[in-house]
Amino acid sequence: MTAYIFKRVLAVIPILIFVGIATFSLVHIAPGDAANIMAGDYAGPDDVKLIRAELGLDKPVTTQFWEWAGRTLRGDFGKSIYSGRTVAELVSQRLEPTIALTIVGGTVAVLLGIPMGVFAAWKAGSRWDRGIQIFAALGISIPGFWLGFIFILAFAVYLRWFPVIGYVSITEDVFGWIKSITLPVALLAISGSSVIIRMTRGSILEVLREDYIRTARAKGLANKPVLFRHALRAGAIPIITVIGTLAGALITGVVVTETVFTIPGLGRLVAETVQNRDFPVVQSMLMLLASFYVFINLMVDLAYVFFDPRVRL
Amino acid sequence: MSTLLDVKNLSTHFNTSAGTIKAVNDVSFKLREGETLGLVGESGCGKSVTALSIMRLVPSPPGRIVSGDVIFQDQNLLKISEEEMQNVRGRDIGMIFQEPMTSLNPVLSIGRQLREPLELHLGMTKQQSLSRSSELLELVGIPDPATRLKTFPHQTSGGQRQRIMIAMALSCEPKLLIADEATTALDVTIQAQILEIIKELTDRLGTSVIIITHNLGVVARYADSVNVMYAGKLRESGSLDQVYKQPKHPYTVGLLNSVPTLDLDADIRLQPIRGEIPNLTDLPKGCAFIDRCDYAEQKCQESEPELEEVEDAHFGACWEHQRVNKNLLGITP
Repeated sequence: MTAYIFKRVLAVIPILIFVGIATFSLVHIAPGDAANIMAGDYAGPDDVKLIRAELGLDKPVTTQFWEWAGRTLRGDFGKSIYSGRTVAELVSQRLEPTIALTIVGGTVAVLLGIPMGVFAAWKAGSRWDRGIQIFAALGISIPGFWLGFIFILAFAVYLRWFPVIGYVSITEDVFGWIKSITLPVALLAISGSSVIIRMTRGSILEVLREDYIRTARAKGLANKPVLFRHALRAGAIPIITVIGTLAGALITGVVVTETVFTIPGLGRLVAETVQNRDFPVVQSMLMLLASFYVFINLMVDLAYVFFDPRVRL
Repeated sequence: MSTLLDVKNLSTHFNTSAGTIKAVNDVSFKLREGETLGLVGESGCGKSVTALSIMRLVPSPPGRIVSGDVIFQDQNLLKISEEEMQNVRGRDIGMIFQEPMTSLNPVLSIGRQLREPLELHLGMTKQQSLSRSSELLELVGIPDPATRLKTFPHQTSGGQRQRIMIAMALSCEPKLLIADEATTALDVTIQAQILEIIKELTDRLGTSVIIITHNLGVVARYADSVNVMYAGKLRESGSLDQVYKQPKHPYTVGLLNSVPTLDLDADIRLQPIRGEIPNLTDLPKGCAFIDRCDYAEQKCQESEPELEEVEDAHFGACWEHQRVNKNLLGITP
């Protein structure tokens, strides 16, 4: 297995090279450039030219790419064109809310989704099952930004239970932190758990038809161990896969969530910098997110070994 | 010996889109302590559903136990709560299934699966159940049991898995063991070994056994008495000698005549039962065996014969039972 992990880690290199080329190209193909935006509406062509030269945007694209790649390899992720702060600094400032949202939101989604999915499969065809399935269908199909605004309207504006916008750091005020993340976490958990519910229900439903479930019942096991020890473990692979995908989706999902709730996290940082064509930050952020995806996928593959002894890596 | 299991008028139906299948239709039989009963019949005749009904493991929906009583050690298994039934399963009644390759959970270690009933029913600690599991594997003839406990089912052959199933089913020393086609999926030499193990262990424990099979040779070797099922009903029941030497139902005759034996003359052709089993959602008004029967008369079309005692403790459900028992090729117990 160590050989496998080593191979997988090595495989990250070509993936990141590809992501690097792709993001670099995307940023440079996209219409409008940073120089135009920085110069403002009243700047003449000469001003723009000057700014371009300053940013190195007048050089050939390939030269720009090699320079950027070289800097990135040395660990220099560049500076924001606007604020002048380093990308590392920007990211570390914005890291906490995003980590809090994804970890808490993901955990709630898993803790909610798996039991509900197992329960729905166990009671397949019943009213409970139908209710859970409707919840999951709505959770997947309702757009997050819309539900987010409804939440803000209902729970923050009318009921005043939670703040309308903003984020309170956990180090400042734990209670305030809980209040500030409740609505966005609920939003992430609803869509996340819906995906998990559907996969769990399907997987468990299939496993429950297996002979070994009948064996387990014939031994006198009660429903709980049959469902959670025998069925859930045997049906874990597709569920883990979907949780892995979800972890990636959560990171992208926070772009919307953070925008709706005005939370200063990485998602907002991506949204802002894309709008401003702040290309050094955008490129580094995309590389960061891609690495995270690759890492999650590796974790999922390793989890397969843990949950299914038949898998050999 | 006293009666251990008394099944009375058991009926289990399956509701399908094509109609209601009466998989088990008014079945009654008794089993004494220490007795081995062979339950025989073709695929789809209701043998397995009878066993699953006793265990209350009929998949529901679509299956449903419609009526009847299953009296086991003075309690009616069909009337007690699911929790009480869980105490019966695995502790008082053990069950072995047909498919050794799929009857063990692929993601749990063999030790884990063996320990479950021990810890659940006998309240053993992990240490106790581990050493007991090891002993059990040794009893069913698995070499190096301590190592085997740590392995997973896919690392084990079919015959070995069925040995493990036996160890699991007998781990709490149940009063009754139901072996549902326990050896059908195995090759012949392994079949014999597995059956010998079952016989040896159940004899030692005094366990009653229900052997469900379509293999009449297995029944001849191991059973004390025989129940023949066809299309959801018992058609004949009696001691091994009675049923094999003087069958009182044409279906039993047909089954016996389809079995090859070594003492048959080489030029005698086996006689398969002609036709097919009837559609279970649409059984004929009269006898369900009528289309395949050589003895069928007018009366057989009009009404269905009930199981009646044709001689001492030998029951048959055939209007023409006195004429039956011709041309028996001969498989002898």
